Amino acid sequence: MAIETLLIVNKSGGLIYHRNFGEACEKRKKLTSNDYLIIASTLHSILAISGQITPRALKLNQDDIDYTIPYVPGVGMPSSDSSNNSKMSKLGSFKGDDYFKESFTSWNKSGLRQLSTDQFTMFVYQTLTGLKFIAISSSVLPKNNEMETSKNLNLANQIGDNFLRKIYCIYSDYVMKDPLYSLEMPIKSENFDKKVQEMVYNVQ
Amino acid sequence: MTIYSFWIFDKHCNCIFDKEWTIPSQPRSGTTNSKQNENVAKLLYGLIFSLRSITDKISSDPVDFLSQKNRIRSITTGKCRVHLFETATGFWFALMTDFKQDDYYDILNHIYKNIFVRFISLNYISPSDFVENEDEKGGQGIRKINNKNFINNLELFLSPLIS
Amino acid sequence: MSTDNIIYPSTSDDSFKRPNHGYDYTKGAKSHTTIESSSINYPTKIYNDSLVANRKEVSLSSMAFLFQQMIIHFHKDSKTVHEFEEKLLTNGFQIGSKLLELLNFRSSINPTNSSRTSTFLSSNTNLPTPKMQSQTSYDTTSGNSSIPSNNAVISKTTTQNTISNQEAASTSHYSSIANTINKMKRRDLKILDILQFIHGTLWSYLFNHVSDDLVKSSERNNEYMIIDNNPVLTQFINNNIKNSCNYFMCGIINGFLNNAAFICKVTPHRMPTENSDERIVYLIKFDSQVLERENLRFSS
Repeated sequence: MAIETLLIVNKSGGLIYHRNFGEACEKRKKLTSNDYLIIASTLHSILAISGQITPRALKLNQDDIDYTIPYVPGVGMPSSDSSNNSKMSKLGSFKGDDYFKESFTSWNKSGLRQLSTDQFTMFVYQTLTGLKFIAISSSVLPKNNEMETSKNLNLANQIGDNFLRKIYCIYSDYVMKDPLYSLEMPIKSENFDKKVQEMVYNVQ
Repeated sequence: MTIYSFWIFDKHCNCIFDKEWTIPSQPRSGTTNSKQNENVAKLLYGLIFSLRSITDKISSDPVDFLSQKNRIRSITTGKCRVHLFETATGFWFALMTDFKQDDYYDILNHIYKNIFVRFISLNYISPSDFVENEDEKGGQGIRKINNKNFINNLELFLSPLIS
Repeated sequence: MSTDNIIYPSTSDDSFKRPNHGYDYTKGAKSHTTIESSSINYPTKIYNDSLVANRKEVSLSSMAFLFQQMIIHFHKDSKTVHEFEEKLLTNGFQIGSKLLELLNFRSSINPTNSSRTSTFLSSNTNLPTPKMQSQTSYDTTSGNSSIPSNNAVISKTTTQNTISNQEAASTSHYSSIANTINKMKRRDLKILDILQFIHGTLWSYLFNHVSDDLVKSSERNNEYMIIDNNPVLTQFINNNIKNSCNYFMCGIINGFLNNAAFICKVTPHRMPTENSDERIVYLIKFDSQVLERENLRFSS
């Protein structure tokens, strides 16, 4: 799964981080930062609006939708035969070899979670504090010609959620603990950039 | 594999047909073209429209004349999934389902080809453009598809899928 | 008046300082007998805590947040970078001076079972200052012995005796930490000795591992370097103020050495290698009098 763009939107809808990865972005149209700002605020409002669209059948039945997202191991972690023999974990304030190891509940109960098109798939992860992490990946899910239930899209959704939650962990380390960072402002941290780059590289 | 509702939008931003299944086991239940769904229709249209504009901005241009523009296949929210099908004439077919199925392209294609085209477009009496004057453009239209053949065939086709 | 000359015990509880008679507008009218009815003010538990190391781990996130707030506070108050670094240095200095005493004491204790358990802690928390009580118990026993024997009085004396026995036991508890020390660690007089102590004991106390290298500079006689490949405290800070924030650690080393009578100046320098990008070198420059003293005492 190749991640092409990462956007972080704060709780008022302003874009605080935007980064393109990989050579595939050369093919895409060159968008100015203003365009990205517009995209970010549009997505922010769409997230809110999509919460209103609930089919009546769901409202009547009140089926309990399972909001837990299972842990998908190895998303964004370097391969196990890498020659790192440093004893200290490289994960900042997280002990062990991965940021988290158990399944977690999604805080995004009714907003937009995934958009799949012909050329890319967009994942949205919303945190409890209203921060939104948006990843645009160039992987496209194959069309399923049979009528049986397929798990491709759901699995991709889980991988996307796991990945974005790890980006959230990196954010809580390198952005929140930076003395010169003020909340809700654009992120200008080299450490954060480096860690995100590593993780995107590992996912590919 | 539950289908919750089915919507058709035209190029004038109007919703010209909507059908909602409330009790999954009975395909004839539910509402057709109800007034209560008007607001939901507008929200849904706005959602699809804004996501399409974002997609157009982000995606690359088609390489040659024959390859298609980037189209939206599905939108997943926390509670349901909306599958989208666009026709060249500007109609949008939206199907709201649960999370079990990835892609409803074939079903929507079939609905378009065999049901919509047959009973609406090729129908001499039914209007091709559901807008009759300038007031009904831009989301203000009130005409809906009431063709019994269309509705019956739609229910017949979708009933084995609603479980 | 007469209350001015009383030296109050150092506690965190301020009610010692308020006179028990007189009108306190926050509490209302008081009577004279409130000395017994008011709650007994125990001195803070921190003096009863055991000095022996309990391996405690602190969450790195909370430490990082505290450190971050400290930096923001100093950064706001200082007008120049130099002032900011001086403030961090001073704060680290205070920590370093205290650590010298504590670590030297802990390294003197023999690692036996009795000294490592927390029995010291549990036996002392319930008792008020034994000294005060033991004085009163001695007074009453001496007072009672003059009164002719009475049933009630005998029982009172026996209870007093048991209390005084308990006091003796607790005082013996108090002294038993010192009992485990056979030979107190001598003060480090040589430069290399104390630098080894920093490299080994101080670093493992702070970061759970020894520092990565201890180097004597080849160019100048009075310069030594302690190397840390991954500075833990400043790992989340960005490079524009990262080197200034390392002055805190320099302050700890500086306080440690200055209190041990090795006057010096410590500065941090960033020297990345291919293995470690964040490698920090703490450069320690000893004063000329220290070198002179070393030469006089230890040169053959």
